Amino acid sequence: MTIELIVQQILNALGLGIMYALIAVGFTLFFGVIEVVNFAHGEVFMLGAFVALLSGGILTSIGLTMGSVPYFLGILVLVLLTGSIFGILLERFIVRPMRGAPDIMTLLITLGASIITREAVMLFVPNGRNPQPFPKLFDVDSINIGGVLIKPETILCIILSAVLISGLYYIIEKTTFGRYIRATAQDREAAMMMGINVKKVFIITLALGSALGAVAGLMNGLSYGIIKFNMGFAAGIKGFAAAVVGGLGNVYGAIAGGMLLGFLEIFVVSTVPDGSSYQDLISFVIVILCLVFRPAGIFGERAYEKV
Amino acid sequence: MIKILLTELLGYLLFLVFVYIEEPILVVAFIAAMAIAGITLKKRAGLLLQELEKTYVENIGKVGLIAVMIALTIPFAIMGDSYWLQILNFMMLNAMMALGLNFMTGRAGLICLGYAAFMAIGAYTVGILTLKAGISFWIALPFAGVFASLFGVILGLPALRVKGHYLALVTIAFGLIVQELLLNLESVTGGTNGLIDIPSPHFLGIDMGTTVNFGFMSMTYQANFYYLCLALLVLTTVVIYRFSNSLFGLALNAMREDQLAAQCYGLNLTNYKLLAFAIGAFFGGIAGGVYAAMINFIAPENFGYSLSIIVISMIILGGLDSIPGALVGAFFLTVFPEKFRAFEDYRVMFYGIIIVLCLLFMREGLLPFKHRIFKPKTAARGEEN
Repeated sequence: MTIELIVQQILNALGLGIMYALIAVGFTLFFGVIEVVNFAHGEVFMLGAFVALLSGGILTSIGLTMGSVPYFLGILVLVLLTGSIFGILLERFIVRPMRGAPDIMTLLITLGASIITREAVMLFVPNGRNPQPFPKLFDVDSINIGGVLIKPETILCIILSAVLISGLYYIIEKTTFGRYIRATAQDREAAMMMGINVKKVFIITLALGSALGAVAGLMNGLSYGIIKFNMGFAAGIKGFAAAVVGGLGNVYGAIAGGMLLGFLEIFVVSTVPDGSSYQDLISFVIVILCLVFRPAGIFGERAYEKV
Repeated sequence: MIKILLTELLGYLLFLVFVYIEEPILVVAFIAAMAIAGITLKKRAGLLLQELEKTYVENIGKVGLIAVMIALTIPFAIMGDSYWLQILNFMMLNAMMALGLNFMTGRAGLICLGYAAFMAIGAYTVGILTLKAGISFWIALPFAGVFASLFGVILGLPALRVKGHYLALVTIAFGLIVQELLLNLESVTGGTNGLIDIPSPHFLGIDMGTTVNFGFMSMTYQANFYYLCLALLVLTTVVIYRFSNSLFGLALNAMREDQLAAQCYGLNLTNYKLLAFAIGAFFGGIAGGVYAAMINFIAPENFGYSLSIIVISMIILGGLDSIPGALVGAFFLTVFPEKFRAFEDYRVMFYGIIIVLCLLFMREGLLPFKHRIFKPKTAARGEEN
């Protein structure tokens, strides 16, 4: 394999991994703070992509031209908003009524919510059953640097994710609200006794995580140029797998886990003959192995009660 | 006794009315009337219902016997309507899967979101054995169950280490891995095209894929499979019922409620978990085997994630860990959507809505699991073992 190809694949893996990482961060936040595994999280990924696709008309009608930076920012804001609103609705109507119910019930209800969301998009978006072409938001061709073909979308995605993840880091580590989130994650009851409005923390956590997931969906549309109503399922499973590999509840582990899955997938696809037909299996095999041998994740410090 | 007979006959009559009405408006009116009647009965005549329930529970054997007798007459009562017979066949296969999944998820508390994989394994076992090896269906069918069990144990191995959310992830992954393997191992499974022309089983020299003639009326091949499915469903129900009411079933309940406490009482969790997986998977495999022989054609996409979800929604609607619940859930979720074929597109969404609404407002399902009543007889039997 030539050096150019290797650099190329590293870039691809980076783009894929950072997408998984953004989804995984949501899973890990929800689990760490609310102690819920949100199986509907994959759907916010799909919703993000669809909102980006459908909001084009609104943005052009208010005078933004396609391909401009304000246009892209407009889409980004809309996607973030959709994600947050989805998260808030989910908290209010699905997660909150199930407080105190056995784990299995919460899990199943989020599963039900994910089916409803997915099917609603399929049925109510025009021609939603078929894959939708995702417009190129920037009219820039791939750049060729020393034989390495760089898609501007990949660079954009990597920068955007870096910004979002730093933003998340800032919120969690530096702001008062982040301290509330960390306190709630550590000990919910103690946090309540300190006067933290835990309900509000839950809402914001779901909104925050879901917004990141929605942006991952937008990135998926940008990098692959095609979106489909059922793409949230695989994305959700892989995001969850990444979060588990990194250790559920550990935000930085989730990012590392996402990167690991992205790199391994690209590695297998590009080196193993006929590897692309097994691309989806890799994450699952890794996560099963991880759960069997390192149940707390590769970076897990805390051993979670599992058996 | 007479009460049981009368109420079951009433249910039978209502079912026949439901099958015969065609107009969607009438169907909606019928369902609404039934729901209202059910709610008013529960409010006005709660005591009567409780008494009836008690009679049912006490004479469960007779209830089952009468139900089977009634079920035997259904092909004649619907005049051999092949469309409805096929739906009922699917209903019974679904019920077998629901019972198997209910044993795993309801009774043992081991969540499984990849149950369709067991059905796929059963179906492909029968398909490959009868088509490529030329083995009789009747020998292949037990193999279907055994192979599914084997895979159940394989799935159970990681499940020994994980639980709850993690188990959900592992089982989803398992379902997807099985499906991907079926797609990619083309030389054995036929890949995307699946297996075509799976031979129909022969029973006493009669090809079950042909029309049967009863002298006064003839029925399409679905009637043959109706009786096969019925026999297997009865067998499944009896086996699951016996397991559930044994000390083994009690141990699984204990494990579901608190693994640590169960361990402290000396239960070997490893064995119990693996057994629960093996038994639950077995019936999925059997259902898949019958499915393959009945449809004569199987492809990987028949056994996708959505099938697992459908089976899950059946046991949630019926009530987790409730055997009659699993049967009723399978019945409602297979038969009702057929009357609304115009809304076929909304079907999966309907299953999602059922899951969410049930969990929000009716967490125990239609027929909640009843805690067992301690009877000295059960205890004596347990000591003998």
